[in-house]
Amino acid sequence: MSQQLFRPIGYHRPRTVREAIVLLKRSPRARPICGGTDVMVERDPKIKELVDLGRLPLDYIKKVKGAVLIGATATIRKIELSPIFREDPLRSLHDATCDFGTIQVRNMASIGGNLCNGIPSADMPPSLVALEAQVTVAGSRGHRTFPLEKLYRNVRKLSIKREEILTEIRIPKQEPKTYAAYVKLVRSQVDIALVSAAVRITLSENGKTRYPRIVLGAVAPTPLRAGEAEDFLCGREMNEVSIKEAGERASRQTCPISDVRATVEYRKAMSGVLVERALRTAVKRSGRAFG
Amino acid sequence: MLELTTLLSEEQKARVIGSSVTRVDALEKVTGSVQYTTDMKLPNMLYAKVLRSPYPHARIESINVRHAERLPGVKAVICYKDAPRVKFNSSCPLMFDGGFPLDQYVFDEKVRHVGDPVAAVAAVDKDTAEEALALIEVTYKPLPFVLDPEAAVRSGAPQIHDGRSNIVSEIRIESGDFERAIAESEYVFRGRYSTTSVQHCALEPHVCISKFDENGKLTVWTSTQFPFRLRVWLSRAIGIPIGKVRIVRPPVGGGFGGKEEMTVEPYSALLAIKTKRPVMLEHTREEEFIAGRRRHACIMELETGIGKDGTFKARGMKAILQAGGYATHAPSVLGVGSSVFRMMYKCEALRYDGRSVYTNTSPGGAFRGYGAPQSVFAVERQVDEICRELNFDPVKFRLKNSYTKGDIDPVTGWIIAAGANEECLLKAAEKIGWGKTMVRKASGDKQRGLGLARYVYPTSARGKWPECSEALAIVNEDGSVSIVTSAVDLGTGISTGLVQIAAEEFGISTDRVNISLDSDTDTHPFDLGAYASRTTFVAGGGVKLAAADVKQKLLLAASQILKVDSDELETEGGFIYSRLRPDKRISFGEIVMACRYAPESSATFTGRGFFEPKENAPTFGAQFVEVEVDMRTGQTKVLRVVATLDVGRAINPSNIEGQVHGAIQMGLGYALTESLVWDKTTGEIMNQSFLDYKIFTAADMPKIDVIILESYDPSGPYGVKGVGEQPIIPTAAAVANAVNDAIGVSIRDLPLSSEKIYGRLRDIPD
Amino acid sequence: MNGVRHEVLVKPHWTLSYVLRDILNLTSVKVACGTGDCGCCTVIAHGKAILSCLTPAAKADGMQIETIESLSIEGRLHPIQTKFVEHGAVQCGYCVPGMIMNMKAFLADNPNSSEEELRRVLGGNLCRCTGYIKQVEALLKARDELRSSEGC
Repeated sequence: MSQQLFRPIGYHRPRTVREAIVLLKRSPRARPICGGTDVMVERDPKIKELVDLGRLPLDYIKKVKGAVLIGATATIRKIELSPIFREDPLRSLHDATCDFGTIQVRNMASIGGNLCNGIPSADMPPSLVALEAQVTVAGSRGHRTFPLEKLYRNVRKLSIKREEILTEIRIPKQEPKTYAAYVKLVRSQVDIALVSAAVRITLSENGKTRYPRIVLGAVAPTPLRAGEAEDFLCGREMNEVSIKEAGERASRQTCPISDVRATVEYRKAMSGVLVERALRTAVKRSGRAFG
Repeated sequence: MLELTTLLSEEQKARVIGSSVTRVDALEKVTGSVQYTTDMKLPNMLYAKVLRSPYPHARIESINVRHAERLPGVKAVICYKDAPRVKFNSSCPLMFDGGFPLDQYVFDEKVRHVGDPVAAVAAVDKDTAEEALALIEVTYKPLPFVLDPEAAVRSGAPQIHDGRSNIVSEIRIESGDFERAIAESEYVFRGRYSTTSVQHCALEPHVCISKFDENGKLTVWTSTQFPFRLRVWLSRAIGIPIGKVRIVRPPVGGGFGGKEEMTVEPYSALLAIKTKRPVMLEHTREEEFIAGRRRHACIMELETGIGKDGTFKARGMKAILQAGGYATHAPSVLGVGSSVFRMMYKCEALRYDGRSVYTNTSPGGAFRGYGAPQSVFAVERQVDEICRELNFDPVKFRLKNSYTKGDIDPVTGWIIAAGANEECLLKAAEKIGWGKTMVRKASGDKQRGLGLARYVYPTSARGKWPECSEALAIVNEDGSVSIVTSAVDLGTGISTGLVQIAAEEFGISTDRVNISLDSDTDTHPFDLGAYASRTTFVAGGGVKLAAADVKQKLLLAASQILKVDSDELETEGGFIYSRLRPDKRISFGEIVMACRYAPESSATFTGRGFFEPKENAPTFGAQFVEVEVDMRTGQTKVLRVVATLDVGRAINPSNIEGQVHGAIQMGLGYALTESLVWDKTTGEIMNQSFLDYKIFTAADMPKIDVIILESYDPSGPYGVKGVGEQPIIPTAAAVANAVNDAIGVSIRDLPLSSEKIYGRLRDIPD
Repeated sequence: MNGVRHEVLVKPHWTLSYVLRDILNLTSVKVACGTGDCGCCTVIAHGKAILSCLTPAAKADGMQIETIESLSIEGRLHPIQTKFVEHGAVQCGYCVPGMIMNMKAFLADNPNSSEEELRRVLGGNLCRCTGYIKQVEALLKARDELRSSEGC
């Protein structure tokens, strides 16, 4: 009967990470919640205990030796307003946050929550993966750090244990002359991503591209590294021809689905266009003339 | 940007009419103190929830409510076994003798769409009601279902209502010799155009509270557009005499036609009768999408003959309207669609062949425009194509061919007494810069285009349905006036407009006129409801007459008190005085005080106005739209809209502007982003929330210029005509025409989603 | 709540909007979708606009929440309220409390926002009556008035 209804019986507000993990481990039907913007929409009947991570000391953004550390409970709005992400090389994070839902949602939603919901249309994973972000996950055996990419196994399926929680995101120091951008395809101005693309390029002295990263969202069960497009761009000059080719190669790697929002074909085609546009924006940010 | 062009004469100018006075209800709305039905709480109140069918078409084999009944906190559960077996039509038709199929029961043994009510519970709180629903056991026998209206009329289609075909209604009109006219036409254009189902999305959902008292009196507080019509049909549906049913209508949080239906009231009423406690039933947003009514989707095939001289020689439309599981408004929506089709352009040889058809989808209903947006989409899209093909100027072609002031409607024989059709088109064209060099290609991947569309639309339902309204005007002891009317303000501003009309008539300021924001069938006089853009026209007429009536009484009383001939008397600023001897003066308040409390021969000052319009004042208007299309993604941005409308007389220009803005928000969504989508395998609506049913936000809206034209129609008070629905009618057509201009591809079906535009640019089949 | 302390016993699945409307009778807070898409339930918590329909009731423990009732202090209206009235920005009114709270919080922190920014923020409040045009007009005027009264 009440299997159909959202009726958790406990709501906990731990103050330490350790406490949170204990609570999550104790009950197999315990789930973390932070802003509530995913959990309270989904209202999953399987949840029996809610473990609110909002009081954990994980609300921070700080620069440490060139790397940027973001606590998992920092809100999307906090990231949006942070001056760190208004400048190259990390401007793609501002791109990803400034159109994330509505302002009220951004005031509530945590970056940890958006990274851990495992939904392909999530706005934060692509640009972070493109910047080689790493995540720290805490569990009963301590904590470990690994590339964000490795967090995702499938739609809504993460590689971490149910009782483990994301505590920190670390964006490593980027090479000089690195530029990043994030774009998403929408049906109207306030919308979830139908397709998204995050890019990062580093331009060497002779104008060749180094360390290119192209990451697509909503076109595969998990954030998709368009490896073939990246390989193609590596060592090449950024111009209309190479950008178009990169877009096409990226598009070929996608395996989107059809749903009420868009069809497979449209998503596939648009992924190429978005990659092109993200790359163009990144180049524009470099201030270089475009060939 | 608002401009007002008047064609009124000096004598027709007014004092209070025509000024954008502040709305009478604005203050309580900005402070949050206004109470909608959703905000009401009665002592001892229960909360109801409706169990709905998961199948698009099925028979109910058994229902077991015992487990639900036993859940602590549940006070009643009802299903088809408990409801009177009385047929009705939830549109509460005014024609009691046919024309509208009576095909609904409160609960039936068959379900005809996903979301069709099967049972209802009343419990002490919302949680318990939700839990009780989950305990009701229903076994269904699923039946074959049909979602597509064209499939529903083919032989072998599942029969949705026992004992009748899936055709709800048919309209056939033929005038002149259509076949011959087509054969003799220089050019013949044929095309298939289609529109989609869209939902009202009023922010306040359907909601009501029912209370059944010891005297057998049922009171229902409900967010409704038509209290009196609702009363008649609710009385029938649940078997309580009309005089024992009282409908109270608090301020309504948006209607747009969706609340011109009896939806939640029978369930809450039956539960209130069973439990002897007040019962509130409020739709969730999902229920609004699946059962809150919608605009009927329509497929239209046009066959049009044009002469060498650029005039219409033959106009034909074949239409199929998707009614859904129940008829509700379908017959009259089809009717209005056919009338508007007919009235759009002058042509002797006409053919209209339309049907509304049952399908296993949620029922359609009244929705702002009521069949006109559909017809105008097809007609104006084809006109756009005709003009492109034959190289006609789109504005001149329309002017040449439309009906306008002085013409006679060939079917009804009415003279179009007033109308600013030409001015509407020309002023809009001028405003947007039509004909001047347009930068068609914007930058890089984007292309811009301009499109236009016009409309004709009646005011009120005069001519098709009964039309009347009654109002009272009561003068108080301080000279202020109280207007009593059942006219429903859905947010449209009618309350303010009626205050202005009364103030104008009395010669006093608007802050001396009272009007209540709710109405009550027990205490307020009769009005048919808020629909057909009739309220200012008909209810306004009632108020004007009521004011005039009591003003007469005041003059007579003043004449007696002042001992002066009533011919000498003038009224101004709440005073009555003798023209010849200005010292002989008395205020309204003094008259009332003297007469109400006179020891002998007392009198009260209550005016009654009953208005029945003699004509149906047709309205005209046009919209020009500029769009920018991203050629690589198909995404369309609307840059600018210029809207003109001939309102007869603007009571409150700012309110009219607000109505136009809101209608355009809906029209743009209809054109580009809104569409209810059904899953073909389950019959379920796939987008049951605002996440995937996309309405325009502030970030999507273009710049809008509104030009109001006043062409004084004598059939209504102060020359007014309808305004509420009109501005939504041409929008989608204008947008589609603009897109055609931008991309060179003519899209004939709504919505013009990004994906659709992308696909059509590349000839990719849907 | 608007400066007054309340103690409420809540269930884990309850939302803040349920507590505000159904328990504390602050019916100015509207629930029009329940899924965080329409913004009608917007209230201000510690200066930030949040959606009460997605906020778990238990999470509100310790929060300082403002609803629209707090704006009219001793009968004086907030500039957004007066401008809404003056500019005809109110039709059915259902979206208004949530909209005013969202924009009040935003303007308090962003007195110099551009029209475009303002429109994007207003994207968090759906309205079906007004087309948002007069609301944007009113908000720009309110922004100007707030700015000048701050002495910027």
